Amino acid sequence: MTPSLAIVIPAHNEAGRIRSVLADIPQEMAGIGRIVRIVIDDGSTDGTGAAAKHGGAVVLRHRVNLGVGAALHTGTEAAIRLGADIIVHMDADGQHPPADLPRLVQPLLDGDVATSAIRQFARPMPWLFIFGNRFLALVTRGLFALDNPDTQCAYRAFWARAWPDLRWQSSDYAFASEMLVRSHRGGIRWTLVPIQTVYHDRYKGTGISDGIRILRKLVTWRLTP
Amino acid sequence: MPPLLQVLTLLFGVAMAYLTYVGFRRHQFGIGGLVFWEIVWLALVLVSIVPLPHQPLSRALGAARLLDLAIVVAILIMSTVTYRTYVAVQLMRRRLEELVRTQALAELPTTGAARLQSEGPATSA
Repeated sequence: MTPSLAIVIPAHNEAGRIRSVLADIPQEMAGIGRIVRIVIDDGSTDGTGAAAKHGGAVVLRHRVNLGVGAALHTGTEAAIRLGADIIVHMDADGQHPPADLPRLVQPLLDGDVATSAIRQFARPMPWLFIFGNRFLALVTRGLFALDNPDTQCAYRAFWARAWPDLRWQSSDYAFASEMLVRSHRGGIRWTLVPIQTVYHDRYKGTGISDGIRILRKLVTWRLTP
Repeated sequence: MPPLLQVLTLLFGVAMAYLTYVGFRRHQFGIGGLVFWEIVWLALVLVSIVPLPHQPLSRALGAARLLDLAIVVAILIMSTVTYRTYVAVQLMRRRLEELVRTQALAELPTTGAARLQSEGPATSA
């Protein structure tokens, strides 16, 4: 079987970058059949959806901004409904290099169930960003014995059949941790793939309040079955 | 001259009773809400005006004055209302998310180039 691939990209006001991200995604990959790119326009007001459609993606629109977790949830369900065998999550702002896509997918073709990218935490990333990510990884390891040095990197690939064990509820940035915790409980092992680290000054990702919320949720998940 | 706290409580009770009535006229809640909240504000106004006849009740419940008792009860009511608001907001958020996601998925093309099919015989991954 040559598996099909769906790349799910949540996007909120990324009209300026989404087309170049879509253009950089390889049209063909060794061992992969058809590739479809799905963009979830998460309540954008800058024409992100139209730009993504121009870039050749299947575009679904959230009428209001729900958050990255909810957008990826919608996109993953869409990918499964379209018949995708492998699903990849990728950011819309270019911080997940499309060039690393084959390296992320190859372990799945070799028999693994799921792969997660890991970044190198170094300057020019802000110290707070580096500390926050390392701290959350440390807490996750302490609470769940889950060894992933970059629990907040959402550049991930998995077989569609793993979806029932991954299905997260968090609509915000906590989805990345919830995905790991749920899969850990479902017996899924993530293969870690180091990727090229791209950091933009216009970073819109996890902030301090998100970090505190993720921490609170990690403790809650630990205390609940 | 009545203590300042009693005067402030009286003014607060009257103002809230008026705002509750305005909210009812604007259809922000029904007759049940109006009656409940007007009783709460009326009770607050009463204990600030006529504290003395109720002193035995306050003493029995371990409060120095009836107004102190009213403040404790107010905190309890406020905690309950906050909890109920929290539950309602969570429920509404979940329903909104479900609605928005269902609408988005309804746009998914069911036929055409977007459909993916594995090539070749299906095997387990």
